[in-house]
Amino acid sequence: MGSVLKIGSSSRIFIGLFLVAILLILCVYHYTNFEEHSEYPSTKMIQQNPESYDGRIISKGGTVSEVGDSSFVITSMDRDVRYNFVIDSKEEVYLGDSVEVLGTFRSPNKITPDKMIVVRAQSGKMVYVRSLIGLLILVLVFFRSWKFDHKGFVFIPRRV
Amino acid sequence: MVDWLSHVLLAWIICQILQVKFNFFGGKNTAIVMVGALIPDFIKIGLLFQWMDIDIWNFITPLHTPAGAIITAAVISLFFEEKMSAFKLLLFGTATHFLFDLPLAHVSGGMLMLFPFHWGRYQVYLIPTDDYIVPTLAFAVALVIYMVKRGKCTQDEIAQS
Repeated sequence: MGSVLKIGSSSRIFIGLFLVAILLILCVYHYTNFEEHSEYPSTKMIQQNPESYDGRIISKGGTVSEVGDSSFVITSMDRDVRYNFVIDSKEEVYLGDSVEVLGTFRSPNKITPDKMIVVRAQSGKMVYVRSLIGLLILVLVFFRSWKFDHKGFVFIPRRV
Repeated sequence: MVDWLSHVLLAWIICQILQVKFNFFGGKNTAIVMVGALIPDFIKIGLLFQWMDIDIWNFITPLHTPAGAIITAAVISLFFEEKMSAFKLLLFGTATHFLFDLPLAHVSGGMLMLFPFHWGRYQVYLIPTDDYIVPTLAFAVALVIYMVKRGKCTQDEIAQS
């Protein structure tokens, strides 16, 4: 590799803490402002006052927790709030499937979907399995080329 | 999400192709690009909290934005001797991540590509989040490249001896 940027260990700690602080500020900024920039009302907002969102288009995601003949229920989580939405659809879903819905909200908790994406529970689990394999490959490839130097607290290239 | 197998393999494939023209992407540097390709998905730490019934997604969303990923890459680059080179490689890996996350299909929303300056969400709704064609193709292409490279190395060794 070309350029070597020499930074002392104390400066490194300071820069690291400074960057983490900026990242935390970004997180706090997002958390405190995301609702006013959201295209659709959050679950928490709907739960607090469902009547005021009657007839409005909302977008929700959740896990299927109940299946009926002409509808099913998804449990949506938003911060400390869990809220069940009844989805007015005959789409074939199973318990544990993940569902994203865009549709018209009917108070207190019904959604008539315009657009819907269903991810089967089994298929969703396979994404995690593939991700674990990816992580394993990354660890193998990385530590074949690099090792951690405990003295300098840095990764250094392995000698080939 | 595009699974990590796809992200890691696609970053590796891109590095192998670029390596033909630019040595910078080869050897040990490829591994750093592959790490960079998973940086925005540090947001998946939210899954651990979700299993504990704690919803922190709206707090950690900036981790999956270019701004958050650049800062995370900068923090990780501090753990390398050649920090600036490591930072550039991590950033390149991060760019591949956003490139391959962009076509994911959702009913609405998308990635906050210009956060914190703009709250617009960007997404091209093409590929289902649980798609298995992308990882299968990535695996096949990576395998072919690996075999070709190995075959070439063996030929070189025979020629030298």
